[in-house]
Amino acid sequence: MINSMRFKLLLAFSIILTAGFITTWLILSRYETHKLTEEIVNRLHIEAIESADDIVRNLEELKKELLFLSTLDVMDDIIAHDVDIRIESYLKKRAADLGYGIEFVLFNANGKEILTTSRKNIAPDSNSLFSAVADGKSIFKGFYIISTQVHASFDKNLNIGRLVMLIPLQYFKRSLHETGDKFAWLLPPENSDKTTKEIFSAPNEKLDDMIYASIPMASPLYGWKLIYAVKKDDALQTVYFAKKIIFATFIIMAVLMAILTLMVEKQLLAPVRDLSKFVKRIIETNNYKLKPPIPSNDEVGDLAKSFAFLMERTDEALTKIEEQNLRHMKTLEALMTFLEEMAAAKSVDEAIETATNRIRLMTGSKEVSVTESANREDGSLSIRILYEKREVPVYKYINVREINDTLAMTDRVYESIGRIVSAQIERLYLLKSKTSFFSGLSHELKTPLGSILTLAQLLIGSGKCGEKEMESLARIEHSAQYLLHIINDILMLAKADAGEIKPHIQKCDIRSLIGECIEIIEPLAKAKNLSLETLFLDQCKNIPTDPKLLRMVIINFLANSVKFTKKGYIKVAVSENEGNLRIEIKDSGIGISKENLDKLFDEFFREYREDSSEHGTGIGLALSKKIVEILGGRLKIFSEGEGKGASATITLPL
Amino acid sequence: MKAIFLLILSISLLTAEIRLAVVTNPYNSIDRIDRTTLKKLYTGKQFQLKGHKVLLINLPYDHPVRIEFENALGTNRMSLKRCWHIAHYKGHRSPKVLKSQQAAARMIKTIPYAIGYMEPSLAEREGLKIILRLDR
Repeated sequence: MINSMRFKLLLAFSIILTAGFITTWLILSRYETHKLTEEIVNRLHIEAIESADDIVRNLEELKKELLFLSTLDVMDDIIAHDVDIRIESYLKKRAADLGYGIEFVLFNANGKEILTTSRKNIAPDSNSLFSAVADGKSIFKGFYIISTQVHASFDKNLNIGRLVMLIPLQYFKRSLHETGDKFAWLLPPENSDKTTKEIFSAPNEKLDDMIYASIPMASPLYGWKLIYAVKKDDALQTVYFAKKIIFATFIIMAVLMAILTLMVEKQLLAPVRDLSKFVKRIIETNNYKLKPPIPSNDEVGDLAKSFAFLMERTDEALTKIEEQNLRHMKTLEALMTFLEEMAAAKSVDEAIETATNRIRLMTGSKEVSVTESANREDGSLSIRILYEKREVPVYKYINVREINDTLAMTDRVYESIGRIVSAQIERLYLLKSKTSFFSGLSHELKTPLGSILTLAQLLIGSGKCGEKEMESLARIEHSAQYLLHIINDILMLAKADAGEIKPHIQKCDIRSLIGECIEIIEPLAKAKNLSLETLFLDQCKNIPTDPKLLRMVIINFLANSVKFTKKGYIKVAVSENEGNLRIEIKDSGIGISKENLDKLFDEFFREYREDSSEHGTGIGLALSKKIVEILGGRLKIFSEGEGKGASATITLPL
Repeated sequence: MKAIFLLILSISLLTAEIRLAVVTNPYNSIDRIDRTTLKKLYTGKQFQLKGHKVLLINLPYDHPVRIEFENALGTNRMSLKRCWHIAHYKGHRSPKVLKSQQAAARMIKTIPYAIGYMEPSLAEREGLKIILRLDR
């Protein structure tokens, strides 16, 4: 899953999108918010300065107005107390013109109230107002007070009274420009009276939740502060809105990205996946003839085409290899047949004829000849055969023309064929000479031996000899018998080697055959006081074999067992196993050392044993093995070591 | 008694000639003023008395006492007006006009070198110094 292309694509897109989102978010949150806050503070600051200027300017204007009024000639009426109509009405009109609840109070030089434009606010406390004015206070009961001395118009040195202007503190608020989400308020000094503080109470919002600019007021409002503020939520609304938009965009982009990824993946990777499945199918079925799907004309399509081309090539190569293998196999088979047939050849002529025929078949040539010299013609091939005949090297050539090479016949193969033929011919010559030597020798020995035996038996039968002579004659007869036995064995072995022993296979009752063998051996066993047991483990009766040869082998083994067993037993067990007849002859004799087990079947091998007084030719086992092989069976001899007995197992096909 | 007093008062009012008293603050050094000087002051030809700038007090234009006073000075009202026009352009203030004789009296009482005119009885009541009496 993690290694899938879809996951990787999704991951890559997600990283890009998230990085973009985080960057924008951070810029908005940190930089833009900070910048915007700074801008807002600057703007608020400017507005505060403007408002403060406005307040001061307005106050100046009012002061000027007050000064102007104080210099009016009618002010002289203070002296005469003649203010009922003229100055009072004048001041009232001015107060009404100024508006905002601005009022005037006029005192004479003694601090006695001459007139007031409105009684409702300050009455009846004009005395405390005058003393406040005299003390230089600027705030009085919710009013900002400015005052000026009034001098007589005819004598500027003559102080005739004091004109006081009462400006409601709310008046300052007209200079503060509050809009829907913008707050502006004046902060009086800490030591201000309660009324003032009530008038200029700050908004309910916490200052921490606001962006604000605060400036100290200039004269005549020293100690006052002017604050302009906006709620953070309102001020940073655009940023918050942008954030919301970005977040919404992020979500939409994420969804779109997921859809896009899936689409891209489907468009791009589905063909790749199909291709991958296709490859798996090829691996499973080993069928290189399948055609891969070609989805489109893009890069993936090119890949599929290349793959198809590769497949074609692979298929061709595989077919070629298969054909070659087949040819090699056929060649090998032909060579095996050639070998088998060559091995079966009994004579040199037969060997050469077999070779010629085989080569004809293998090369597909119609013209194969054997000559004394090599054929040098073009398009022809000569296989050299070299062997020694009576220690003289003989060269022969098998010439092949018009080769129709269906098999993978290389020079090496031809060389091997040559060598095989040469070796077989040489072997046949050797065998022939050995067999003829042995059979010649046997015949040559048998004739005088027959005479000796006959003469000895004749002399014994004549009864003309004394006891001593009789004993000698008996020894001669015994020795001659033994010698004849050996010669017969050698003759048999030579025959077997030369392949002259032909088995006469017939149905034979194995029980009676073994019984016959036991009968022959029993007297010998009894003489050595050995127990002889026969055990038929299965219902085995008629088997196809040569009874004569098999009997020979069994008797040989039984005789050997009797010979090499001093005490104990000899057991014969017959059983059937996997379509084979198994005859096991087991004894408790002197056994065979492990290192000699392999050499047992060598001709004339005899184990030298101190504990054995028996002697023999060492031909028996070799002959037995050959006979069993002629019968199509196997012979196996086993012993656990010296003194531990031995067993011989003959396995014959049923 | 009361009836007799009222009778005498009404007779005196009906029969007596209106007289005007030129008054000043009791605490200044002006004790007398002649008609000519008075006229000079009220026509904007003189502004000081005994080294002091004086504040002339007048009554509203239609006040009978003012009419009486101007007649007593023997000046034409129009020419008087002209005189003060000229004086105004020379940087002088015209006499201060007060609404009533009482106001004038109070002003004169307050301002040391104020000179005004009013009925003598009022002047006496207010304790002002009469520096000239004007008869019809």
